[in-house]
Amino acid sequence: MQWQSQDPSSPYHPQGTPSGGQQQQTGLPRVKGPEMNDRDRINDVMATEKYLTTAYNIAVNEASTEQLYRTQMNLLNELHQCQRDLFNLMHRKGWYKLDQAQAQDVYQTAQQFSNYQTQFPYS
Amino acid sequence: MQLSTKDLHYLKDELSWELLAMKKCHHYAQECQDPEIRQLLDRIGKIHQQHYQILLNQLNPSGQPTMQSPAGTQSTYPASCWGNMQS
Repeated sequence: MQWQSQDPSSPYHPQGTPSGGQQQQTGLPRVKGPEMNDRDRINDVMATEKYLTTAYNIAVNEASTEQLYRTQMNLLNELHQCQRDLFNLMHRKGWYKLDQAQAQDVYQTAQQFSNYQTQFPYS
Repeated sequence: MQLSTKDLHYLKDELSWELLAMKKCHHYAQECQDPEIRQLLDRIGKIHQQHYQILLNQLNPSGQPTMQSPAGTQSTYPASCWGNMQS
């Protein structure tokens, strides 16, 4: 859920990336007005799906019967798939830029958590 | 089928969410310029509608689909059905 905080569609986030050309192929107006565009719409649906999966997740835990549990789990699964489809499309449109982690940071994290393996309770 | 009060509360919530979601998808899909996005939103909207149907069936003790009931039939569930479930 980390990418949520980046709010990729925010018009207040000037895309300072050098690859500004990527934005043009998306068919969005260059100068944005107050009206919603395709990116806003898909982003809003995405937010809806996120809310739904979170909410279903809680409901599922409290289902009184196995049948109801399974039914809701199936719906939850489908919602996750919807969310992923939305994400993939946005990503393909260049609306979901994710920054590459620094190799050094990855290395350090791997080191750190490798060392913690001494704490494993199971041999 | 037996439902707890909690189940019922959740099902009500879920039905409301699914209804809103399908409306939103349908509405947005119509406004979209990009056909790819329009198609995806429409597809997702239909999934929400299916979900609504599935959830509604959970409320029906006889297990029969409850939608498309003839107009005029006020309550889909006769009081007797609920009486059985509560026992």
